[in-house]
Amino acid sequence: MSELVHHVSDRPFNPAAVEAMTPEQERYFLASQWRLMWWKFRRHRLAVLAGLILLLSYATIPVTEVLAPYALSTRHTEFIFAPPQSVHLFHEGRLVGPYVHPLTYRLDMETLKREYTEDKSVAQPLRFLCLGDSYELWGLIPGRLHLICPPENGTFFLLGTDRLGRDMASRMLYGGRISLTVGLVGITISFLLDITIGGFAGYLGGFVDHVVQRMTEVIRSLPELPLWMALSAALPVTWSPLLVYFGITIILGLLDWPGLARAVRSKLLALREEDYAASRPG
Amino acid sequence: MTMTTFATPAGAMPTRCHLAQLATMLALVALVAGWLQAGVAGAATLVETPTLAGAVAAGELPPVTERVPAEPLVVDLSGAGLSPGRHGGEIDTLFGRAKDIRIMTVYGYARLVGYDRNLDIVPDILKAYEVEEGRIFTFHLRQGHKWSDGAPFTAEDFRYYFEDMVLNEEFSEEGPPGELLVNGRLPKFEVIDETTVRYTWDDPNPNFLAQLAGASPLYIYRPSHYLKQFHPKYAFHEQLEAAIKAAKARSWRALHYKKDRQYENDNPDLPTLEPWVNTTASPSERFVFRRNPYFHRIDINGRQLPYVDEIDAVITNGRLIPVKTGAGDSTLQARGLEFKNYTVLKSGATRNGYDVRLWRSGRGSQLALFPNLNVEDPVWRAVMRDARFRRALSLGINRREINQVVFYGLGVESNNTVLEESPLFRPELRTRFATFDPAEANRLLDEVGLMARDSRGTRLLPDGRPLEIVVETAGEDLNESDILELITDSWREIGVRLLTKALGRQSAPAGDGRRDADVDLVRPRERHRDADAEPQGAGADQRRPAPVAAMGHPRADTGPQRRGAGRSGRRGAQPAARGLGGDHRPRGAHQDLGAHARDQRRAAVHHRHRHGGAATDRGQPGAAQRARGGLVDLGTRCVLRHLPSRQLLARRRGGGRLMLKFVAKRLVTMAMTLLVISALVFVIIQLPEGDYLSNYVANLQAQGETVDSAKIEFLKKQYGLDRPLIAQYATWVIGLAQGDLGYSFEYDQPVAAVVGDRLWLSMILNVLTVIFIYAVAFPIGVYSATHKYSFGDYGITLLGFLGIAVPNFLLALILLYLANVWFGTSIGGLMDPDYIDQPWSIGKAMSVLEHIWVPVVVIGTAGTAGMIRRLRANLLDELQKQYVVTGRAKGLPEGRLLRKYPLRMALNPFVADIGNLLPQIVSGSVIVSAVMSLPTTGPMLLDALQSQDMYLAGSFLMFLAALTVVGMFISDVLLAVLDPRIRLEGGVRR
Repeated sequence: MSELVHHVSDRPFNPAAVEAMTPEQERYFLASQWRLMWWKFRRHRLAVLAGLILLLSYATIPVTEVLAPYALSTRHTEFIFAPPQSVHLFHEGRLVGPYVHPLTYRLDMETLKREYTEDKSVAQPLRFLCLGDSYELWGLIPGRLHLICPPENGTFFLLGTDRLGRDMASRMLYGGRISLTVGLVGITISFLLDITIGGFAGYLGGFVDHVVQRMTEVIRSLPELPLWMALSAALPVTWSPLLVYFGITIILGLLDWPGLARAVRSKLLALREEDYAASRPG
Repeated sequence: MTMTTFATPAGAMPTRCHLAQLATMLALVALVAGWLQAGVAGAATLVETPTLAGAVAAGELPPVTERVPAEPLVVDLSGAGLSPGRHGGEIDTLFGRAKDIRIMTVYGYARLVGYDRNLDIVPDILKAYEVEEGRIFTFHLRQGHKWSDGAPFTAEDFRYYFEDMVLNEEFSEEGPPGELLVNGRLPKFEVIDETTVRYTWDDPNPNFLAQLAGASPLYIYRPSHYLKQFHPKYAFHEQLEAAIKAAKARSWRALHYKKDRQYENDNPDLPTLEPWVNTTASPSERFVFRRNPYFHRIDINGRQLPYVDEIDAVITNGRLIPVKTGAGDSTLQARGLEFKNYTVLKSGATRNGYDVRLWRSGRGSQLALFPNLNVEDPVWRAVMRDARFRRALSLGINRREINQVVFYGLGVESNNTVLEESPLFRPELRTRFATFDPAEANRLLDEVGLMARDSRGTRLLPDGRPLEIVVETAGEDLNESDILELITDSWREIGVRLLTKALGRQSAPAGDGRRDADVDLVRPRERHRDADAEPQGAGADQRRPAPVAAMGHPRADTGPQRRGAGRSGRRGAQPAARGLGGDHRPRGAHQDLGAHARDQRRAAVHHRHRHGGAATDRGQPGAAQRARGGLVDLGTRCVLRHLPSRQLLARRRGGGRLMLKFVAKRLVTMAMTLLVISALVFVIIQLPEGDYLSNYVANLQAQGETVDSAKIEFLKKQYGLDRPLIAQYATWVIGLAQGDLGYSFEYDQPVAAVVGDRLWLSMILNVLTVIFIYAVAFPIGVYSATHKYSFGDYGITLLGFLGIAVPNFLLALILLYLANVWFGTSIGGLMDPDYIDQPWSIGKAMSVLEHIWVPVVVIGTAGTAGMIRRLRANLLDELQKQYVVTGRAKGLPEGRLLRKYPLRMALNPFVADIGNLLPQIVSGSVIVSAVMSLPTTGPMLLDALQSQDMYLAGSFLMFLAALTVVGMFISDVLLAVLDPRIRLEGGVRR
């Protein structure tokens, strides 16, 4: 048996030369964390779509007053519970631009039902960039300019009206503004609390951890219902609905931390045990 | 009217759920006093009631000749354009809450004396009465009149009340009832003979008869033969003590009080003189009232009244009443329906075979605002007391618009005044200052001196504060808040800012006098003598109290109405009765009326789902496994081994002892946690102003009932509300530890007895929901993860989000509707009303199954969605791991690969989530149960919270908290057992 000759090349070796990466691979491995997240996000079509809608909603915030065809509390007592008026383009075969049919109201005396019929023969073109209900933009700049206005002597209820004859579409725009912003406050508060409390518990461990654990448990087991009811009675009378909503959000934010705090804590505890943490110097 | 038609038609009336509506109902039930003709004259020979004939034949009941008094009250219906009826029939009706059964006492309207159509007081239970000098009242009873149990009704029953209750020092510790006092002195009471009694005051008592005739009358007689067993003067000591103990009452007096509520009508054993006798003990979801075989009225054909054999009152969520009525669940419904329900009711009328009739409201006005003339703030008081100011406010209301918007233009625009029929009606009072005239209003306000305005155009008070008027409202009634909103707008034109405070619950501080509201919103009662009731301080220039906002009642559809049924008795029970009886509080008394959140009051609570750590999971797949309680898991550091290594096995074996220690430790902390929670719960319940009694009093007053301060004192002592909070808390917690849940004020029973079946139904509902969530979430979650980004995944994800986004109550209503339309399931409840309070049977179980799926699906949906997302995220995490790749490379079939490892790992949250799920389901089920009127603990909890029924609410909450704590404990232990990677606390600490 001859000995197997073991040949070792002593030439310099560059692994990168062997496993040459394609440009795509390179792009992938060199991409920043944000870029990776973005790619991943883009793969989720539903999320992208939802994100777009969300962005659009946020984009309306500064200009709600202009976008809404009516002011927040404009009432049309002759159009209570009116159905949505759909926007048409072609009237009797020719293009008239966006228009609506006027509504006629009739009260059915038999059932006391408010009935509306569209008068299909009349086309009322919508007006754009026109003067309508007055408002104060950001509570400061008075104005009357609206992106879309109802037709002259007509109405434009894209989503119908409510029980006092207020335009639903306009009200949703106004309401959406509050929902989109105030919620952020609550989340911020609870987020800060989460990270601080959970972080301390996880990092310090021991007694602090124990106390936080018990607090978490208590708050989590506390039925929320009576809390809400108590809160609703406790908020001051003179507060506007907006302020009340704001107040409740803050309180909810203050009470919402246990869930995430626990996650933060456990994550920290787990990371403490990771090899790289264990191999820390000192 | 024949009885056959009786099974179907429901007279639906646009009335509000309010005592004051009773007049209308009474008219419907055909108890019109104008048809009463005293005297036996035309009465034919007595006819035996068919449904009682069997009992009579069997000897269980004496024949009708012996049951009816020798001189019965003969009711002639022909006088009112009606014909006498026939015996038989049942009425199914719906009440918004169990306490409403007292309405039956009002519908029945058997009083010593009662009002007839002309508002004259005529004898009813009494054969006759005489009044001398306005202060000597002689009452003659009917010979042979009997209580509903057959015992004779005699002068002894009056004597018992006066001598053994009113004059008994122990019983009337806080003093005799105020109604009996004239200038602080009680009358002299005499029994003349078996059927004659006399009350003699020193001074005239003009209110006495009116009080006796009230809808909620002064009862000056008692079924003494029944109540003597609870009175120490008559009962054997040992037996009484045993009875007190059995009822968990604090004294004989409390027991007596509890057994003796004639008006509340909640003791089925209490004999009565009313036409129908309650046969169901509280609490229940269905109360059955049967005919009183000894009732004292007959019709001209000799038929003993009432005609109707039975009234079944099903208790349901007040908001479901219109829907249920529309679905044909009620055969006669007056309460719980409003004008705005008309369209809905009408649309179901032909399908379900009932009539909808507009009925005239008994109230002068749908809504009235009463400026608080006694407001503490001196500046405001001066302004409020200026009649010009109040006139201006009234002129600033656009009643025409309110009428158009809220009442379809069918209302009568009016001040809050009496109905036209009243002899006290004066047309000018209806329209005076009631036309919309902002110019005149502005002129008046300027004249008052409120010239200055702020930047918003709001006028300023003399001291510079803005003219902001706060109106407290229940906020639940859309009509009310709509009207207020309209007024807000029209008042803006006159520079007055109206702020509406929607109260989630009654908060009417009793006693401390501090109040924020400047204007009280009062559901006005008919006030026939309001003109005399002008309070001293109200300004002499105005003859009437000044309700500034008043909306006319919807005009009645006054065509000839067919009666729902010919029925005995008499109308009357004019709600005014209360107003008549010395009940004219000065305006300032409205102070403690508060806003009238009452039966309809349901907490509008935002639904916030608690997903615990779910947020992280969903967003960030890395943090799949979470620590729970005292446990730490290793997170993503997955060291999964095909076979447990020796090391792992060793740790597991050693874990037995550790486990035990862990469980013991957790049990101790659990107890501690619960203790802390109990303190928090107690504090939270106490947070809103006032206590149960102040709420109770406010509620009663809101309904125009008088409340005796002596009785309140008594109740306060009984309930221990006079003791310091700490002591109350200590008693409660110590009781809890011993398994005693405390005492419910509302039901006047131990909490355990009140809760009863509900707890089990709640548990069943919650357990079923958990199973539902697991059963649905598991397959979907797996599919969704293995088919990531596929069409199916998107579809399911969308559905899942819809499940989270759609409010539970909405889903509940939709499913209820569908279940009703498709399967004919009765709306609301957990079983058909017929099965309520019946023993369990196959039919009942089937009925429960038929109903329970809706709430299970509704409550489960939100949880399912979350669970699917979590399982998907976890599984995706696992699927990306190296070992899966290795497995695939080794050629493991995909299905086997999935089942063998990743799925098991991903199952962790399923176990762990019990702790998360339970509170979510429990709080979710509270609201859903309230919406769907399920006989579970949810609606009861809501009611208890609203009425501050402290121990009932507290015990419920503790139960919920315990459920959560136990749930977390179970999930901890399970996790520790199931997942070897999870270290027990203290097990390893490097």
